[in-house]
Amino acid sequence: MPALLEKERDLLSPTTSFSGFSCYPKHSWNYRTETVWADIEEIDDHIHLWSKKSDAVKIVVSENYSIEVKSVFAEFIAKVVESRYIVDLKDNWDDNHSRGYSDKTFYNAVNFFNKYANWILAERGTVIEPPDILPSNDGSIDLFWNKKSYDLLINIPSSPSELVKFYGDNKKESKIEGSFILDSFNQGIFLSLLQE
Amino acid sequence: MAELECIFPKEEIPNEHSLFQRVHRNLFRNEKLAISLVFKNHGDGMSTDWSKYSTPMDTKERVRIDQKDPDLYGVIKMNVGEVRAIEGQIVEHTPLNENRSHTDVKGDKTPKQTVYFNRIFQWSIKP
Repeated sequence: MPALLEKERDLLSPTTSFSGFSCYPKHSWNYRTETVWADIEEIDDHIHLWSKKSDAVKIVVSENYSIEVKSVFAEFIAKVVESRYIVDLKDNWDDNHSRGYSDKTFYNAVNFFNKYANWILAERGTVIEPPDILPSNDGSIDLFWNKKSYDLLINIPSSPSELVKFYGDNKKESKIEGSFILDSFNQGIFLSLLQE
Repeated sequence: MAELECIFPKEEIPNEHSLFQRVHRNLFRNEKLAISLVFKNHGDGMSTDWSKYSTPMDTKERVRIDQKDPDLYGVIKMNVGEVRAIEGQIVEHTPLNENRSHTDVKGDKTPKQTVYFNRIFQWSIKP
């Protein structure tokens, strides 16, 4: 049986533990002996159990970017772990000339959802379902909710000067489509779909 | 140098037929498809193969023309009528001398079209 979460691997630095990626509970951020380490696959299976141990989890995307996610968004944390491979994709990774992805774009995508989910939690007291995080065109990243009662696709561009584009509908008459600048948008626009 | 004329005539594709499209295995990870990279134009349109002149296996194997490994690819299938029902999409038979089934799906591929393509495709051969 593989070890679920190995403690006390404090001699290892985050960047040497496994592919430059690590997660550990906020409360132990400064105490290396309490740091919880795990391989990506192991976290994926046990993220729910693990995240109950603290109020928030700090996810290190790269040396430059990390993000703190409330444990209540455990499914989202699992999605981030599952999709972190995107940052390691290099140019022509699909044998069809697709570009690789920067840690900044991945961070922007993850951070966008995290901020939005926190806003809805504060405003409505509800935890919204997390999207799939997918590689997309020209170094951009998609957030995709492919649900039984609705679809919503938000494309986070690789350049801050480009617009975020989105489309969503409830598979009936209700549709939303448009674009906005990443750091400034009407947060209410996705509410009707995400609370379906 | 003048382009060689195609030896195959261009034909009208019936709505009830199917289109096949290759998908590299790196675009399908954790049972999730990188939809914006699958449903995108390359040049004039999105390259597919018409079921009248191709099977899913033909589509998979045809990648050898580009000196690529067929084992790295899966194949998806879409109904022509459902593709035409997606806003702005035109299905046009564009035969090549080396591939009579070649068909372009022309038209913008915005997030809206991507969402609709995702609803209509089926796997013929998983990568």
